[in-house]
Amino acid sequence: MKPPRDRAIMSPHDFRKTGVKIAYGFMVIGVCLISLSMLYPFVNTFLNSLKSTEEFFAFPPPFFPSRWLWQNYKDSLDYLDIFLYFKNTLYIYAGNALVSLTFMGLAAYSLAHLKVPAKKWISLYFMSTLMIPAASYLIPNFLNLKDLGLLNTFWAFWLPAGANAFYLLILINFFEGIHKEMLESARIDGASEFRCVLSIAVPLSVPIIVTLLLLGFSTVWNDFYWSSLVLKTEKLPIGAAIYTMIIYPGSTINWNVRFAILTMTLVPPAVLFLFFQKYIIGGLSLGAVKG
Amino acid sequence: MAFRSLRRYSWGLLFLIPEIVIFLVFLWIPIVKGIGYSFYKVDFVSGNTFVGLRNFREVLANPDLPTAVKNTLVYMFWALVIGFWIPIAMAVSVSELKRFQGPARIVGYLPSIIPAIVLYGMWQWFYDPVGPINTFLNSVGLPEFDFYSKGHAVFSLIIMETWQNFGSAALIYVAGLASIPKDLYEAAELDGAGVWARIRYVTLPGIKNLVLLLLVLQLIATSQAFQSQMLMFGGGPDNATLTYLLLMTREAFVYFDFGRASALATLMFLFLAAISILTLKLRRGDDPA
Amino acid sequence: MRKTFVLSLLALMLAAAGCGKGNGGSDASGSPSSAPASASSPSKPSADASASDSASDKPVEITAYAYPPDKTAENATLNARIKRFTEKHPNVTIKPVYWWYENTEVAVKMASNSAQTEFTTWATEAKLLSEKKWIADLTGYMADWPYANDLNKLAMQPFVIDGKTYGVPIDAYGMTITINKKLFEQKGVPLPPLDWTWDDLLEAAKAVNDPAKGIAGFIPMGKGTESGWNWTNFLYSAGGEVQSVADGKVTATFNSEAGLKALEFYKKLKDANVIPKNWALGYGDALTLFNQGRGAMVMCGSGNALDGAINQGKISKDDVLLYPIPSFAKGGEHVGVAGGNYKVINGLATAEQQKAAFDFVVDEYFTDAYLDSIDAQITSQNSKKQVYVPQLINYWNDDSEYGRKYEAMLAKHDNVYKYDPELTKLMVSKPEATYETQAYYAEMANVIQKVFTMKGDLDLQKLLDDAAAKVQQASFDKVVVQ
Repeated sequence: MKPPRDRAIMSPHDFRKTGVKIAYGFMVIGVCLISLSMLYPFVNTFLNSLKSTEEFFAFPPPFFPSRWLWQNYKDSLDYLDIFLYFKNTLYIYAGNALVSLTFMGLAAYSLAHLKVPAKKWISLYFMSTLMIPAASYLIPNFLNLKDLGLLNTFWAFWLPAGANAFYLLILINFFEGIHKEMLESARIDGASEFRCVLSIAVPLSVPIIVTLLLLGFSTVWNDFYWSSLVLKTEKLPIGAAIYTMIIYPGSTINWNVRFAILTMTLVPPAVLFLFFQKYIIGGLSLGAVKG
Repeated sequence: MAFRSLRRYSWGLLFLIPEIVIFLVFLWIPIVKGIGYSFYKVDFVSGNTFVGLRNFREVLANPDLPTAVKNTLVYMFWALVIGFWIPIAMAVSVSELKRFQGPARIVGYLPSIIPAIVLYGMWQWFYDPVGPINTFLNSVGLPEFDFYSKGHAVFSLIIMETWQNFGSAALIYVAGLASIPKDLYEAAELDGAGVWARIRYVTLPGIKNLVLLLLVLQLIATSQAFQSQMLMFGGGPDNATLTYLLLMTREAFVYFDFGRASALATLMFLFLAAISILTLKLRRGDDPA
Repeated sequence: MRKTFVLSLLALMLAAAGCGKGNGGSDASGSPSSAPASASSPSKPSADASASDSASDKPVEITAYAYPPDKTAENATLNARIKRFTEKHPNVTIKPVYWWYENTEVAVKMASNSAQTEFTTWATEAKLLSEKKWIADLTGYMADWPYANDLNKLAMQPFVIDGKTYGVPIDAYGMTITINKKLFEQKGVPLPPLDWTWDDLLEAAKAVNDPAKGIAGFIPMGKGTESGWNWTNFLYSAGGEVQSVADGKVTATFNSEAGLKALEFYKKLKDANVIPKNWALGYGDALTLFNQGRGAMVMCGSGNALDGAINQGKISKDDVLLYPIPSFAKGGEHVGVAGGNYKVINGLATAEQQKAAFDFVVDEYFTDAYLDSIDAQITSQNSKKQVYVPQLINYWNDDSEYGRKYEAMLAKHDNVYKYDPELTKLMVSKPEATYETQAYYAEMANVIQKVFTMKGDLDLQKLLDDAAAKVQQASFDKVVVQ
């Protein structure tokens, strides 16, 4: 199923024109510059984690540490059982992904391709939740979870993960791109709607599903405020664990050690992304989706 | 009759109901309770007292409110002008790369996994009077640029935010571009369309709906912006970066007045909901579901 | 999903600011923990025994304020203290729970009644927490506690509101100016005299200033409420007041002549170009610049900036100096803002729980066990090559017998920072305003930013009058003075 990578907007033929070559050159330079700027904080965090405390605050800041202090990493493990929190994070994320994709996927498919009464009002029901700032219902939200008995359980994340209008709208948009005729012919062959979702809609939407999986991952990875309120210490995901135990206001852990911990937290998402990125392009059957 | 229509809708409703319930339980119930707070003096110890529209009167009388509304609109406008097209351009560019497409796709996503504390530290250093940008400007004989002045602060924020956030949108666009059938390009090329023409007549129409959707989502997101404003400039200088939501979070977390904070949120909700219902009505004619 | 991220950032920022307000660096200094289990507490007051009698034998469960997990020594001593207390009061069960006080989280904790029965907070929070009834009125318990009158009156002040006591002090600070001596030496600039004036500060800042290298003479905070907090030192030093309270009415007074002088001084600092150009400095930002050697002077509570500079910034302890807030004119008083850390009791707990929590909090106040715990902390810091920076003001009176015991204990160690006795003599610490202080700080932040960023002549008196009118109308007028 590998799509022809050699062909996108430009074809090999176009590159015979000088104008196109120059434009392409500029484009490549632009992408390179942006990429470098994106890599900078990564490299900088890593190098800061190897500096001595004196060097960390030296001004102007040296880019490279004069001596690479791997000891900081060893020290950092004293402060945090980082693997426990990695595990919690993955646990939360797996449940989030399962719940959110299942329920949002079904709902998005329904709104895109099935007969539903008052479709617009149902869409509005979902969409209008975006229009009220989350901070304003923070406390009712917390009390609600408490009333439901979900505090200190991962369910407090898994179930609400399905209530995300942003992802839902994007899924609807992609499902709408699927040809009705394909679904019709499947139905004539006797496929149930469940089958249509599983064997047509999902395979055709692999790129956006993977994209949403990745976006969802960084959300879980970064969240520290909400989860530190909802979960007890030993159940926290990594971001919240770091926030409450390492960089909390008044922490006296040295900055280079704090950065060693921060650097370690950068690795898993980066690896995950490298692994998943190829699915953003792959998996599409040509012509199955209308333009 | 009712039974027949129910059968007609059975799959559609079956697929929708779990999601409707999830939204109800985990979003709408808290939201409605939150809106309810705007009519109360919120007190967790002695219980809430109904105060009618007092909270609304108070927030509307706040002299900072017009400033905050204006700042928010200015911010939304410039964020759109400066930032909105970048993820599209980046996604198109990356999809055209002949090599290293994979790594190029990853880069925009990187800032979203970097802890906020690192990011803000980095931008403070970039914008520093003796930081890398000003050092560069000095070295080529240009005057120092004051990123912190009243006139520049909003742009400093938008540049930073665009850099930080374009990756997520770019990823979604990349996925959108991937769903444009390649044979359309082939056909366009055979018809003699140049590269620009293909972008204009194949690529952009192919992601038109996505662009519109992300446009709406960006407008909603920027109308609720406050975090960078608060972290970088604390809403200053002289309230130049005080946004509507920053005003609201101050009410909630500096003054602990949840009634007034909720009143601000309710006003915003009413305003945005009115706009979207209006657009729905206007579109009803030309776009049957 | 973005929303949680947004809230996270909010928390991060507010936490940083909040830390600045009162908590500043208490972590590194004398937070009250208790002695190792081996240490007996011989001087136990008999009152405790009677307290446990009166509190019947009904079982009571309370939660105690645990330390962050990286503070293993402090948590161990807390556990030991719990053990000693529950042995004396077998009906009380105490569970240590970790939640670090933060103003972004306290509302949620209160709404769901999940804060500890006793927790630590800052001087600035007194009015807000007591007004919301989130903390209990301790007046009755204080009356029964024999040591209540031995508490340091100055430290008590912020939590005594309308004659009622809402908190027990742990330690307190008075604002000081921390100086990076090395920067002065590098430029061959003589140090200003300790008994300095505003002009001395300005001259010193000008002399040591080096904008081309990114070094500022003086780093005033300019972002968030902490900027108003910083500026209030100059208001106080010029003899001004934030507000006056009369006939149940709060009136803004910071637009007085003293306020004008203080704002004119900020304008002078700005015109002399001795402050960082990136004015948007919160508490943490300002201290980081100081640690980087990018500013020669910074304003902070007691030794907090100095503590960070020595222990985190690794500036040698001989290179940092503490000065009082300068006096407006030669021979004048060196008045600065006071603040500190306090133990409070959860207002949502039952009366039995509140009583037990209060007994637990003060159980080892004024005992040897308390001193032993600080002793152990200094020793452990020594092993990490850190310097212990004591708080300038403690819950006891320095000239009491207990104060002398504390001094003797500190004298045993080499790694204790010693305040210049001259400094403590010069410093006059004055508590923060009582009513709507945050609103005042936030409005002042705006005025300060105008001064720091606007070019040309400004009508400073008008800026202050406008700010005063706004705070008056929006906040002070709504205050109900009991």
